[in-house]
Amino acid sequence: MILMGRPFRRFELINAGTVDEAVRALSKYDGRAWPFAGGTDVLRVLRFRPLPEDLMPDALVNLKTISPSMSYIKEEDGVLRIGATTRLADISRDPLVRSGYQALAEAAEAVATPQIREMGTIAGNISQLPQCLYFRKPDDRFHCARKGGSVCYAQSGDYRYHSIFGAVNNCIMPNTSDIAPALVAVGARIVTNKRTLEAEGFWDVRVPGNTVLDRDEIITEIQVTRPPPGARSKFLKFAVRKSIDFPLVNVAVVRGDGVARVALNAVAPKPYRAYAAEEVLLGGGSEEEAASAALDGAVPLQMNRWKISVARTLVKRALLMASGRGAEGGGP
Amino acid sequence: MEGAEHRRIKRPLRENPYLVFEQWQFPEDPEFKVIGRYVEPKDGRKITGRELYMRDIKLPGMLYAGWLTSPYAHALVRSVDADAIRSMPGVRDVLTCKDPDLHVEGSPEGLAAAGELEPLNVKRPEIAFVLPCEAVFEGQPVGVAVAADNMRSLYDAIWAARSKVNWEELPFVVDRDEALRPDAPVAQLFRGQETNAVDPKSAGLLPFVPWVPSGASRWEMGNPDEGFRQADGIVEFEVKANVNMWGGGGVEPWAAIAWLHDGHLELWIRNQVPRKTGLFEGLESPPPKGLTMEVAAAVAGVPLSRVKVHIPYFGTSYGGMNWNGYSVIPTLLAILFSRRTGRPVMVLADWSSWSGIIGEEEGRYRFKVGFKRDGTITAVEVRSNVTWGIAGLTMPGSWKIVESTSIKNFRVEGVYPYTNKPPAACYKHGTTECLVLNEVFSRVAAALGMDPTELALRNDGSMGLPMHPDLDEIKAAQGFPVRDSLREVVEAGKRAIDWDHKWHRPGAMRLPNGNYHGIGFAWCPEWQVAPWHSVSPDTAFQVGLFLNEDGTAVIRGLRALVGNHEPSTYAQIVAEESGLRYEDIEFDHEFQDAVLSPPSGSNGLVWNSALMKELGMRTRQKLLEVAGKHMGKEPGELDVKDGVIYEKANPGNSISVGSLVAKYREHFAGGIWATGRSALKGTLIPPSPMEAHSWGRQAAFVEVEVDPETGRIEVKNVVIVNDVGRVVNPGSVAGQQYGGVYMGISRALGEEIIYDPNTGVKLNDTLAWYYVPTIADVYPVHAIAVETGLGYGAYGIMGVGEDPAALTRAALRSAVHNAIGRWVNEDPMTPDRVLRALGRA
Amino acid sequence: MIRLTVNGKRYEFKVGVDVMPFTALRELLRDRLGLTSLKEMCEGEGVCGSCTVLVDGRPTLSCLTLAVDCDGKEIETVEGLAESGHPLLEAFSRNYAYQCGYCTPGFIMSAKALLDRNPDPSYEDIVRGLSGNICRCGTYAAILSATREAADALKARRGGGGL
Repeated sequence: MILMGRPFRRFELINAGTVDEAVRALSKYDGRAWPFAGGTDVLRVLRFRPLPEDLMPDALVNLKTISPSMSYIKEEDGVLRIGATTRLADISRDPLVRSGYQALAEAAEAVATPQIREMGTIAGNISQLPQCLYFRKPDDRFHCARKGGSVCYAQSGDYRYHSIFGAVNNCIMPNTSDIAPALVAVGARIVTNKRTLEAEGFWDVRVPGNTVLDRDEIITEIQVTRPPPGARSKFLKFAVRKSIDFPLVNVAVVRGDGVARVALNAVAPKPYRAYAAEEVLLGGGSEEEAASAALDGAVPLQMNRWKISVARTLVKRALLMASGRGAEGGGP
Repeated sequence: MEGAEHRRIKRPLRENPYLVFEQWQFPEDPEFKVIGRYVEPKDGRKITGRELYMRDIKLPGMLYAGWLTSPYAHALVRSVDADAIRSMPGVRDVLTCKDPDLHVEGSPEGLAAAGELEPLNVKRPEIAFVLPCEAVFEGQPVGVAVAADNMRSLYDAIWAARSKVNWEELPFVVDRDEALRPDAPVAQLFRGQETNAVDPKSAGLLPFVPWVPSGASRWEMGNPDEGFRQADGIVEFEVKANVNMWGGGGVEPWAAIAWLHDGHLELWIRNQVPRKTGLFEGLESPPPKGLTMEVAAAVAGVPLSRVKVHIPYFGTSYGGMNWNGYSVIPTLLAILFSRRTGRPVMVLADWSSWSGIIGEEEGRYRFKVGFKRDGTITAVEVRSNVTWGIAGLTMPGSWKIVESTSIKNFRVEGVYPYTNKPPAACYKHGTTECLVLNEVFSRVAAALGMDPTELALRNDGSMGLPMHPDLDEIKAAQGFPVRDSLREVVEAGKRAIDWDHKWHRPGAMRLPNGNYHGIGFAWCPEWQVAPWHSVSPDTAFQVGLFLNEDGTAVIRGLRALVGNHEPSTYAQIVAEESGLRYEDIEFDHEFQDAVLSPPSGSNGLVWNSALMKELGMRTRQKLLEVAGKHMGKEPGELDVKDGVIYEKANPGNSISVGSLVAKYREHFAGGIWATGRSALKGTLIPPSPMEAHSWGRQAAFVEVEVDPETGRIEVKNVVIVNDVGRVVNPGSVAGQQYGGVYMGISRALGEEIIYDPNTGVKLNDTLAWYYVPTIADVYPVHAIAVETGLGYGAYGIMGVGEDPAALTRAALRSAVHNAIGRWVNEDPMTPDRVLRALGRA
Repeated sequence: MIRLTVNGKRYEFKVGVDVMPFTALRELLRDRLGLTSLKEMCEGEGVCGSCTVLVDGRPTLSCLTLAVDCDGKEIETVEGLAESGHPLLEAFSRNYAYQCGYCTPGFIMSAKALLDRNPDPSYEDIVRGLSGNICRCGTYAAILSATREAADALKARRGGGGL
């Protein structure tokens, strides 16, 4: 049931002044308070209520009010440091990021729309909840495995956009972050108030969240060690429209100076690091061979096997472009 | 290319890499002072935020009302705990589907619902369908409606209502072919049928085209079997259209306001066609669907004379909902609530229920086409399983392909199953008709390896007659210029897209970047021939003009302003004929009793040009008469120009319009009136249906690149050519052409509602996943308006109409085939479908 | 208490009385300040762009922005541009860059944000800058002309002096 002018579910807003305050508030609410920055996903959940009542937040903890601000981009000692609440638009425009960490700038530029990029943050983007259409149908219409239910409705339903690498915890959603594969490819580290994680270990498949973060844990910073001078990175996104859309397939690669890293997203519930492709490249194989290897293990099912062809193509093209030898072909 | 050099080609609009607009005239065409020229638009104020749109309106004490919508594709509301809902904060009234206010003797208790097939019987309004107990599609408003003090209270109440309702889930069916199987569940119980087959007679299919009798589901012309025997070749194929059309009801979610006070009903509606009474009076079929003031008055319990209608600006409408019984519901619910609460009530509907409707050509088509080696098409057979024609008005394929070709033999069959999908509506369409016409022509052209533009010209005609010489003679006899619209339009388009250098065999052109290049073509007749509106001589279209003492004038008539730049266009015509200045003329669109435009809305300018022309002429006449008296001259000695009446032989002897009006107030106080009949070309009711021909043609050319590795289709170039008869407002024409192009392309590329097969729930009724394109998806469009004067309106106008959307879709489909040498038989042609057609998925 | 500037005018709202934590900026601007140019197509999902306002110069979706989050911020809507006679309005009108007009205020605000940041945009820049606004009537191509024309008009204004 959707109603025009549909108001948000009521909530309290806690304007945290420090990281400590934020963490304490999250602790106190024990899962019933969510971190809040750009709000472009959190507020949609509050408006459309895809989650059952027991999983909906009663409070939002505002991270934008934290001082010193967590919105910054700087490079120190060869490490790029981006504050958690840095807007995607600022990342995409930043000359430092554009020159040294191309895939990250390209990924930030590819997210959604200009407005959402001006509002949305890097931490928010990588933490977004499932965008699977069954998950997101309002008013908990499909009480699936990610909400405490036992069924994945997509598996027996319409799964044309879903995972080509099978299920994780009975879920075949595609992870729809554009930033995620870029972080995996450049080997980013995610710093929280509790620990520092390799990007690859950040994502999970939980009820309902997509990350390993604890209830009282927030991202404070994202760090990327500058790739070697001869390495270049490239990000490509495939979707039906050239704006707005979540990715149907996206790819980020780093190539050159002995580096070969390949990450895909929107093909599995978590970002997918294509180790097999990297081995092929490091062993002297071609981009085409690497692309094929990247899709080893993909499970072609009737409705979504088309993604395999697209994913393979994107990997190949991204690798060619990262090594300066490819045009984009017909797209993306 | 012959032709272009002899033309006067104008380019009145600012251009950019994505838009070129040309006006093609013949040197001997009349040069107007205002018509056909660029003018500043008159309704720019609405973009400043200072004009109220429908959902901006707030009346004193206004309540907000809405419905519970069904989470199930098919279900019954067995009971509602209305008291619990009534007791929630801010709730002023609750209606349930069991409420006696909703039931009229004779209607099935609790099970009446409005689908697109329910005609509104104005003599016995069956308002039970406003709030049914049976949901026949997911998202349908059912069971409970609430009126509350504000949106928050409304929402909270409806949210709570979800658990105050007892549902009985019923078996559902969304697939059309499954719906016709003998063991299929009955999709819509309230119709009282045991199968899902629509009985066309009882559904009241209207005789919208005279050659298909009302209630028919099968129709033949000529001798199709003989036609197939004579053929050198036959193609058989099937096309499945999954196209949906978000926005048919407009982009501003539907709302309606009603205020019943002291026996007077005031309405704020966002219907495109604010009719007073039903269409087609005098015909035996039941009146059509859609809102009429008569029905509103009956529900309110007031006489028709006490209904006042406001039509604020609204986020448009493209026809769509107005043909649908569904469009009545918000207004009727608002009236009911207002009657019960004594307050003004705004009913709010939502995207999923109102805009997420299906397009009228959605379904499956099976074709068999016979043709000779020289391209003559000898027989066409179409069997379709679609939503029932254009909201029940025709059978697919029965109209345009007959209307605009020399093909003599047809067999058309339609089955129309009820399913658990939302109502069908039509907008910027003609798709059922253009789809059939163009699939036939594209396939035959491909089978023969023939240039599709040549195939079109070879088969151009009407009702089985060829254009030359037969129809040329009829044109001349009926007073039309003997011009070949299709040839002019095709030549203009081919030149613009450089067709002769670009057209190639299917699959034959692979580009250096790895993509396949393709170019496609589609054509169809003008949107609608004026006399098809079958308007009886008693139907009043009317418009008035009132002159002011400051020299300004107001045109007054009733018309929803949907965004076609109507005020500007009308002012141009009136200015041209009357001698008033364009700048001095305004348009008041809420004048209650003067109804503008034909009831269907789509052919507006064909009719309204006649109205405005006559209005302008009568204004001039009146000014000359009165000024003649004032100056002591015969009207013939005077002229009006730029708001001044002057003596032709002695221009210094003059008086301004304003001064004349001020001096002779009593002559002008009653306004000047027109009905348009004298200015309408051709006859109002043609001598016989088969003699009102569609002379105008339109064509679309689309160039694409298809990436064989990803299935992505990239549109590189579009040329759209419309014979509009005569251009009045270039900005408006360009907008209509461009708008149609962009809609048609996006329908073919991505607009589709996905249903969960296990529950019948619409999965992507969200703009994040329903692919309406943004500006990022633009491509260059070259729009050409050819002026032939072959229309039935004043100045030979035929308008742009709805077909650009249908055309570009068809041209895109043919372009994709030209690119990859395979047909994508299911659309929209999303990457997955293209990859499957290529054998890569 | 929150204080914000809207189209150059200062306003104060009491949290818990005039505005709640969960009041969207759009609702505040429409209901309290009568700024009805902020529309809704997508039901508040943040996709259609017809509620676009500028918040401290950033194009922002007012449907997904909390009013209380705008304390101390400067907000611009198309009503403000109309008042100050911004060339975008005239340019949109002259180029027939609107049909039903429903999406137009949102486009104009996105265009203003673009021109503020990039006074001499190429057509590609304009396309990218306006890619968060949906139009169904089909005004995209005319909007490109209008935005480019407004850029020219602003340039001429800045150039100052007489011509």
